[in-house]
Amino acid sequence: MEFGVFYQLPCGEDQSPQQRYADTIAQSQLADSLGFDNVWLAELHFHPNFSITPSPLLLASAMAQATQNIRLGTAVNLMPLHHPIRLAEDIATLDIISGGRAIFGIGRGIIPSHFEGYGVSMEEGRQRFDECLRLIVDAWTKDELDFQGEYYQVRQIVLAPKPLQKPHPPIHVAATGPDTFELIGSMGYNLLVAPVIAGKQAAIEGAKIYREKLAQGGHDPEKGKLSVTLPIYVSENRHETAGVLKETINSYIKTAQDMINSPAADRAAAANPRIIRMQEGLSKLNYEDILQENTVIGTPEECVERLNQFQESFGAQEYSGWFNIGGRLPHDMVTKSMQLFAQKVMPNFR
Amino acid sequence: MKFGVFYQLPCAESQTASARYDDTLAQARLADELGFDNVWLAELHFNRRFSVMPAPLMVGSAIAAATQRIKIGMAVNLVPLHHPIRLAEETATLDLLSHGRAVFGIGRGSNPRHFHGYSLDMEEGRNSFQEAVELILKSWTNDAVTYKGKHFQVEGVSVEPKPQQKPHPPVYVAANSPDTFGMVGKMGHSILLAPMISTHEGAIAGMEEFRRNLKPDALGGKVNVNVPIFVAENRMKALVGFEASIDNYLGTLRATSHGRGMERANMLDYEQVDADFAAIGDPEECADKLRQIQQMYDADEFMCWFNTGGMVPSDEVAKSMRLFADKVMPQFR
Repeated sequence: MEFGVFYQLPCGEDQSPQQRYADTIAQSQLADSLGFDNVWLAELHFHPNFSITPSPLLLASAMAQATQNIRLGTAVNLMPLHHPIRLAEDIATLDIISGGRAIFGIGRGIIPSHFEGYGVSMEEGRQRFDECLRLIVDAWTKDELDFQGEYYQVRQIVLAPKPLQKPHPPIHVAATGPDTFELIGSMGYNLLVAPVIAGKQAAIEGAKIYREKLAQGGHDPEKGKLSVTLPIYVSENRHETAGVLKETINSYIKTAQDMINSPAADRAAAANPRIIRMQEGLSKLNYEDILQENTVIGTPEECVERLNQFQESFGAQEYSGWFNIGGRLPHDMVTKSMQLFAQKVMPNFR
Repeated sequence: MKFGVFYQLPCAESQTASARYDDTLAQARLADELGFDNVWLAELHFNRRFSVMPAPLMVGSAIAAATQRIKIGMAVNLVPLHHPIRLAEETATLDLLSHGRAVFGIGRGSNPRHFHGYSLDMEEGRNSFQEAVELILKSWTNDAVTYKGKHFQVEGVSVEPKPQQKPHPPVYVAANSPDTFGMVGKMGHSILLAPMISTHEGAIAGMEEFRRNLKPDALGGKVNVNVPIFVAENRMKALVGFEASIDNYLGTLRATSHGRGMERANMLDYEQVDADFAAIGDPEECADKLRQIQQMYDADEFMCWFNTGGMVPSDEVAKSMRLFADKVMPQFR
């Protein structure tokens, strides 16, 4: 079993972006020394209370200098908002700078304000995703790139540098809706899922569909990696920390709702049932449900038990700890929880 | 007088991209220790022998993590190949990760191959430059930016995080084409010169345009000149040490340039580079050459290109950098 740490990096009015970045880099160093396998960094735009990492690849590049072994992944780069050639170049650069530790995590994006800010039609998201992914893999693996797509046409282009990992860095795709699980399985990519976002039952169902589609698509189901992102908090004394945990989870809920209830989202929702579904889903989110359904929170023993339960449902290859969902936990609480997790929980799954 | 180190990162068949990156990071650390003011990183695409650095902001971020005080500039980000919002976000992120050490170095791009690889029309790309820069600066200085341009339209977008430096990181614009110099002056930014590419005559004429147009309340106005440099104990050692590398640079320039660039590349050889554009020799000879160039442009800064062509072994580069910092730089401080 692999373990990761996930960052979405909210920054409240009373916090400083410099400090949030510095804490995150320090935590990636700690995760590296504690034996975590992966760091996962979200790409999110225009809503600092929800996230200040529009450029997770730059953060990963800084982390590459600060760490030795841990792999550096995006969770996820929002493919339709990137020029695929540049994304291919950026990831190849990260792979070289990190000595072959890059993971290419991608998604098609679901936040309407992101698309509006970048002037990209949300309706084209799926098509752009497919075309960009094909183009990027071609650019990495072919000596000379010839590509005639709907959005991009290039002839005789040589990407330099190529990634260090051959044939290319591992590709993980994020899924929230049922159709995406199918698609990722049939394409044979690895799967990223966050039950807080997708919903627990939907995530479990989706993981099943993913495995079936892997096999049907002629891919080895054993090789498709499922990575599940969960809020994790380990403490020997949970009563001491209950208040601040509640605050941080509630802050996550509120900022997520603010982001998805933007004017841009209302404009887009009229034409897009995915957005209405997400708005409805988010409006029902509450602290108790998240805590009961989708977290690994408690003493080390309780956390082992919770993880075992998740593992029965998911059969995942990796759990990625969202150790500071909402971003309101002080740095030292996060590091203590990470240390306890690595010392007392992780060994039970290795 | 300020001094920076410049990297374009060519990678010959006999070299690996990994080693080139490792050397660059090590040299950035050395430059930081030796008291250089800036690292400057070029953005170039699709030609390994000319450069394996298409993503200098990524390298800048790694350098930020590996250094303490040196400023980190791009020389340059090719603005038409970037989405302006993303370029604003990435530069702001670099500024935060480096604790306020980012320098926003930009250019319009001139290589048709770059535009083709990005599926862009070159003429249109170059024409969108001013709008893109205006939008980026607004996105840094306004909580939410609304912009209605010919090329870009955004409404109420909060670009976050904001840069650490206020009002924003310093802006340097590369000028080689005759029409760019006056434009940079009007915009009020600092200017990056590469006389080896633009010729001294072209750069001097361009600087007249720049100064005539420079608005009086400009935030910028600094003049930075790129100079290939190789310092050794004596001139013969320096000349021999740099020749193969400069030849490699000129060879790849000839093979990869188009139009005006190719004409220029065909006119250049090592002797001329040495005579007119580079500072090659013992410390005193280098200092004299830099004084000449400084007077020619009334320059405020030099961008030292210690490994033009990328064929100088890294320990030789380090030696040359040390000699330069020890014996040449102090004469200008």
